Amino acid sequence: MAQLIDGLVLCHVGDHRLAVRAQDVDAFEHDPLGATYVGERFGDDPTPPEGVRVLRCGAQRLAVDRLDVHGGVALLPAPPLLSSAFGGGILGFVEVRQLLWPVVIPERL
Amino acid sequence: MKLNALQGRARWLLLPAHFAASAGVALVVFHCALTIDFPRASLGPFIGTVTAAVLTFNTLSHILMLAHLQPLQALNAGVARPTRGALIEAALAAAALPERVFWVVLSAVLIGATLSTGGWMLLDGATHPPLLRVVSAGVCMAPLAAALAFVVTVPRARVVHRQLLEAGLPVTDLYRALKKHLLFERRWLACLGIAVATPLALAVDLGVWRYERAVAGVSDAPLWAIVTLLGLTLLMVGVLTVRAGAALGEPLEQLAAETTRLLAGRYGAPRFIAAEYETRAAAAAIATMELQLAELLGGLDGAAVELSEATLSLAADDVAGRAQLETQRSLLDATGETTQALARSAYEIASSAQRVTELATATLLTARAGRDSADGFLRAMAEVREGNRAIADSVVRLNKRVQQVGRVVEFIDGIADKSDLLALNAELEGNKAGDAGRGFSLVAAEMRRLAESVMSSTREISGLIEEIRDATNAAVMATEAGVKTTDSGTTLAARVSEGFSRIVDHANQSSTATQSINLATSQQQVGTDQLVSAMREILQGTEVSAATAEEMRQAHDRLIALARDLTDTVTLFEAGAQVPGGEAT
Amino acid sequence: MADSHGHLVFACGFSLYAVPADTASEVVTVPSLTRVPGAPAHLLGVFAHRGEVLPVVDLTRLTGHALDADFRRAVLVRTPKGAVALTATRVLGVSTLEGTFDRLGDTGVQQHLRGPARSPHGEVAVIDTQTLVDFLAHAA
Repeated sequence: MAQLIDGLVLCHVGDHRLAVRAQDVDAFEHDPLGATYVGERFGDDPTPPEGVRVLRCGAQRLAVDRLDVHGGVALLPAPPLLSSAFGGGILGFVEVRQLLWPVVIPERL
Repeated sequence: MKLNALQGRARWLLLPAHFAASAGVALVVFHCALTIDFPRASLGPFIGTVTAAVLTFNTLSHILMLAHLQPLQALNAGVARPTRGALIEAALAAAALPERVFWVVLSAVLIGATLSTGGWMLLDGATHPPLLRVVSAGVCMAPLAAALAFVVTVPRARVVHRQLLEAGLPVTDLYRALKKHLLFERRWLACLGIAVATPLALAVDLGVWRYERAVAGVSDAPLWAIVTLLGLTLLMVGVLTVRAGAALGEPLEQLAAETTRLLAGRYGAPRFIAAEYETRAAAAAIATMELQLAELLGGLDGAAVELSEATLSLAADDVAGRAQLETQRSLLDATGETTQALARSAYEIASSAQRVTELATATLLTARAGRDSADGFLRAMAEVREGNRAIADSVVRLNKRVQQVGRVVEFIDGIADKSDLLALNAELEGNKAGDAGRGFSLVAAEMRRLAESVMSSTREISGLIEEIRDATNAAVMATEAGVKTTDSGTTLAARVSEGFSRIVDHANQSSTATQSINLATSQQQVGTDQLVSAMREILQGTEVSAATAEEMRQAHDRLIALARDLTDTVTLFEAGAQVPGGEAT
Repeated sequence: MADSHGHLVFACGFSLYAVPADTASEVVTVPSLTRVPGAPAHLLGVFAHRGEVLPVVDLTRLTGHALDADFRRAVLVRTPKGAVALTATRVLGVSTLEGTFDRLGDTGVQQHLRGPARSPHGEVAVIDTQTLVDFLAHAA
């Protein structure tokens, strides 16, 4: 039985896309000063482009290019092959708009 | 400008007037003293009153006359510049003075006498009879005094005129300014009348007076006094007559001398004859005539010289003319030969023009044929162009069909691919089922081969479609290029056709032109023939001209002699006459 | 020796590979993949298939003969450690193999390939799916 996620924050970072659970996000912010650009983690340019969004998740502040909030959706388990991806912080995948989004734990990024 | 001579002339002009007026009044007083019985105490006041009146009147008239002579005075004082206008003004003032003096003196004696008598009567309490006597004495003496003043002033005015001429006033201008007042007879006859009438009037007056005294039984005046009065009066009449005669005679003598000079042929600058009235008009007329004659003589002299020169050069020309006639004759001979050559050339030109006309006609025909060919080519090009367009349209339609086929093949390929995948999985499943599934696997394998062959075919078809697409694209491009080529070919053919049309036009024009040339050369041939015969006639004419030239030379000789005679005649009028308007001699 | 159950033979790049038919669950058409950030190069991405997220492994990259090819097909292999899709340029079908099944090498991916074996389509390398998936899980 697939696990259900109540709310999701869908994020675009460069050519990549990822999702975090809404419950893991405290607030959205505009000021990117001091925030970590997620693209840097994927080997992209560490300097974020103009107009980024910032997710405050506890002590962590993550900057992404664009974000979107989505309602409840079934969480597909990650293949064992990818269990160590994202520093082991991958919860699984969700299928939204006929695309797969990896759901990650923000603290692990 | 000789203005110094005019110094003090105004007062000098007025002196005779004062003298005459004083003399007149003195006679009146003398007359009154003689004929009026003055009480002893009254004679002194009477003479005092008269003297005062005369002095006053003289002073007043002097001021008036000086005002009249203001232009002359202005010249003297240097107030006015001695321009022509200022000099004429002064001359006019001087000319008018004698008449003014006459009237002033007349009124001075009459009014002076009357006023003084009136004054004395007021002082003395005298009554009517003495006043009547004074008036009658005044009437007797006033004209005499005035006439005397007139005849004495006239020569003085003439002197002033001469001095104005010396100061630079032209003679003709002076004459022109003084041309008025033709009153010769009236003025001089008046003087003559006065000279006769005054002694008579005096005699009558005294006679009447003596008669009245005798009737009244009053003692007569002493005879010496009466004789003295009459003597004085006659003296004045004598002076008047002599001066009048002199004033009349002098200008007439000068006029006679002038006329004699002119008669002698000595023309020069006109001289001024100081005169009045008609005498002055005559002098002016003579002066004008002299001027015109001098100019005429000058012109005639120049004409004689020119005529002489002209006839001399004509004679020279005549000699040259005969030489030219000879040259002309030889030139005409040469021209005749040239004309013959010209006639031969004209014939050759005419035959050449005929050939050119034939060639032009041939060119015209060829050009027309060329134009027709170009038109035909143009039509053909238009057809090719239309054909190309049709091909291009067909190819485009074909391309669309091929693309549709391509889509169908893609669809078939997709189905084959799915079939292949299904068959593959079926084979796998059949294999997993062991022996039971072996038959299933075999069928699945067959199906896969089928699907693969379909896919292979569709790939082949796709390749073919790709080739067809490339070929049709190339065809479309080729037909487009063909259309463009035919377009440019059509344009080119149109230009060629237009060019041929122009060539036809030009050939037409040149054909017409050559025909015209042909006609003209034919006419020219006729013309040159006529020219040849004309040249012959000219040669004959030249012979005649030579004879005429000889006659002309003789005529020129006669003309030269005539010109010499004219020059000699003109020289007789030698005259300081060369410069009209020059200094008087 | 000859295998009893047969192998699914497929081509990937210039080499032929074979997996035991009983471990090959399905042959699928590869859809557009979702890339996983930070994953190794041979892991091309994941796709959802019948409610399951499947990783796609490029054999040419894994063997060091990277081929930038359009992999239309993938062979779905299931093991107790999970399922994985192996890229294939062409799937040739189920065949019985002959020959030896010894390890082809002692290092890297070679230790999970056995042979040389012969199929009707040519010489193939037989993939030891159990150990390969273990190896891949470890490499990730």
